[in-house]
Amino acid sequence: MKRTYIPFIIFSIGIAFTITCAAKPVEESVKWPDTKFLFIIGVGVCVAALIAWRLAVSSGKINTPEKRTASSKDLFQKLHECRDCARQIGNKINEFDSNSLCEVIDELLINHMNPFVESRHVLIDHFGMLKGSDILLKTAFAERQFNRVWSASSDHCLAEAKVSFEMALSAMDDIVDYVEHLD
Amino acid sequence: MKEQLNPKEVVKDLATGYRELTFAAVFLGIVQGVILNLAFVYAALKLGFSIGGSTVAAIMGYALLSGVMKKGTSLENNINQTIASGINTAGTGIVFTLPALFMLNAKWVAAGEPGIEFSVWPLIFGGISGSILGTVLIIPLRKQMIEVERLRFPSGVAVTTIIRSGSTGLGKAKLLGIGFLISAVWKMLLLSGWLEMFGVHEEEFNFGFGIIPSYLSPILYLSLMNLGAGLLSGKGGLPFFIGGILAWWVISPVAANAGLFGGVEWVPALTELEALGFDTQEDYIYSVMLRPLGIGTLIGGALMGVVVCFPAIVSAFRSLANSAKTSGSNSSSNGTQELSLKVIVIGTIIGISLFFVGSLMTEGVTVWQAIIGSLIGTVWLAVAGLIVAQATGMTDISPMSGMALISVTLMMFVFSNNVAAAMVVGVAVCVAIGQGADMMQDLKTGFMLGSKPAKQQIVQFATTWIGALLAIGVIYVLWKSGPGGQGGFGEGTALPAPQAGALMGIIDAVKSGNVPMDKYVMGGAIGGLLAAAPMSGLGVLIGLAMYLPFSITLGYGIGCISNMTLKKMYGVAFIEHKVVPVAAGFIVGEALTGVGHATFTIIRTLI
Repeated sequence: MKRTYIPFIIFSIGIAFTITCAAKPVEESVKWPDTKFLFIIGVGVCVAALIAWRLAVSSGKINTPEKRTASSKDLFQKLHECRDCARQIGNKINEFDSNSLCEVIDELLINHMNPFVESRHVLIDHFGMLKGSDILLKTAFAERQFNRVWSASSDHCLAEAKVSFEMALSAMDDIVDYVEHLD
Repeated sequence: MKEQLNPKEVVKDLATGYRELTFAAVFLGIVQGVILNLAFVYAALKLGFSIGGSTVAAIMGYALLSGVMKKGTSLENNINQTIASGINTAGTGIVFTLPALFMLNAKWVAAGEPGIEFSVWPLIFGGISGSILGTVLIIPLRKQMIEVERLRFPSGVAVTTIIRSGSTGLGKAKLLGIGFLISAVWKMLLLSGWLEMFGVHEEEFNFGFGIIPSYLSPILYLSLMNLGAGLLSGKGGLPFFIGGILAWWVISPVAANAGLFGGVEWVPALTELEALGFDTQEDYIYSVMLRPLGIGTLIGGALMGVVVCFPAIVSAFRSLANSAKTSGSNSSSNGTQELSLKVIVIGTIIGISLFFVGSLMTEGVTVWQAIIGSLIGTVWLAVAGLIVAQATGMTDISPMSGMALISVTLMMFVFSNNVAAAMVVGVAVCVAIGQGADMMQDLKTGFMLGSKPAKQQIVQFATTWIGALLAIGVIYVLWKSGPGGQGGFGEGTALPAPQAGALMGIIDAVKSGNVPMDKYVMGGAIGGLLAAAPMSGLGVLIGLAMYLPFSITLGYGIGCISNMTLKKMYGVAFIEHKVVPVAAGFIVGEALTGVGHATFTIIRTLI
């Protein structure tokens, strides 16, 4: 059984109990319900379970470096694949017409960009909230530029699509450099 | 291969530029915004609800910019819908609050009590202040919620699907159309009343059949828009559903059956309930226990969420500061795409100053009260904006009325029960949180289309105040249109203003000291605990589940579970290419049918 399960279960039961105690209507001319002491006990149990849960989550990260490295490696691979795919599109960008450029951008976003950003918890676990958020913000800029390529291409403004694509590709290179530098 | 890149085409395209922030888009957005604002202010007074204008504006924008002008782009249409929905939404914030002031004054005067002294100027200052602060608040939150937390914002996704529908190929456009048709026909069936013979009442189906007790709330809201929001949210919305189950299938039975175990009854007997003004045990449990507790949980969850995500918020501010540094160096860099920290600071100062002036101009308010009121009002506005933006981002549902309730309650304390002063702040907060939620949906659309956020934010700054002014003007005119120059809306008239009626009840309750403070405080603690758990957004989602009737949570949860099942069976691409357009069609279909029905109802009354 995972070490996070027990605190999670205690927290869930504790919070259900606490909410139930808080929900009781107050009697007339009284400020608090008569379940207030039970409510306080429930809060105490929840706080204890919460501390245990957070400790279990963080000790789980520290005690399983192999797993941590594996999921981080997987994530970095996704990032490299995304950049490589973008580069391949960039090499052939003059050969695409509007529809085909939209299609390859769709594929890039669904198959490479989305899996990377959806693993953001791994990123935050690995680098911490501050640096993880920095990476996500930089990635979001690249993603928005790819979306702009799609829109410009569908509006038959291929020049704008190309300019935006170059900005997205440059942002992808920056992210890879930044992540490698951090790691 | 006519469309392929060639040097001549590149030079021509770059010279003309990619159409985004154009005169046509701004003009069309303002015209549509004004029309939608006037129509929906009237509709809200009549029907008690308003409708976001993004979908209507996007469809009209597509028809006019691309169809008629033949040169419109997706991003130009995005600017158009941003302006139109911004002007429209500012009106919603006003119409849910301001009429209560007129109606209360008339009620108290009729009862021989002293009336409320108020003038239009403080309210105008409050409305404009709300427009500015609501937009300012969204600048850093955009980065946090759209780029870091990546919240779904279902209506934003739906509008993106509409704008893109002309370019995504026939397949997706067909699916959008199918979703739209199913939803529109279903909504018409619900509105027609024909489904009542099958036990459907007010768009809800009771599957209890007299066997399942009412305290388990065996009711399903039959809205395909609600189902579509769940379908778009997927796994991320599941805690909201679990919160509903906890509220209605755990807490509610305990409350209803407490007496069985020898304890004191939590819910009065049916005869007593009727005397208290409740029809069923479910009504009592919802109104007295779960809803106020849900409001407290929402507030506690949002505040603790800020603490937990503090490093990410720092990162968002740092990114904005970096944007300002790079903005002058390269015209196509990220710098010119973001509004800088300076705008946030200046906007906040202007907003607070207007707040202060508006409060001070109100009869009976001292300078100190105005200073404290404007500062507390601004802090509360930021918290409420955060709650509403998170709730709409995760579920597409806005707890605006709950936030209005807390705003007025809080300000009645600050201004020593001065209703007019509390209402100035109430108007500002409601306009701001409405703006915040709407702007966030628009920015999500902008993100998915690749729009520059600064352009959307600039047009929002420049135009939303129009909506606040228009709505205040319409409400004044309608009130004066009554017999003897007053009473143009309210109970017993053609415009019953139900939302304002509810707010009147709250103000009366605050004046008589009947505020469920225990529920707000205990709920705040629960929200704090939930938000501190290592699961993102738990406090707001579970708070929202307690705040809303279970019928809505259940329909939404079915959507979430369907999304997860389909993803497991057919993969992510199936969700993106098939489920998203159909779900977007559900949202658009119901929204447009709702607009059509509101228009039809009003015209029928006028004739």
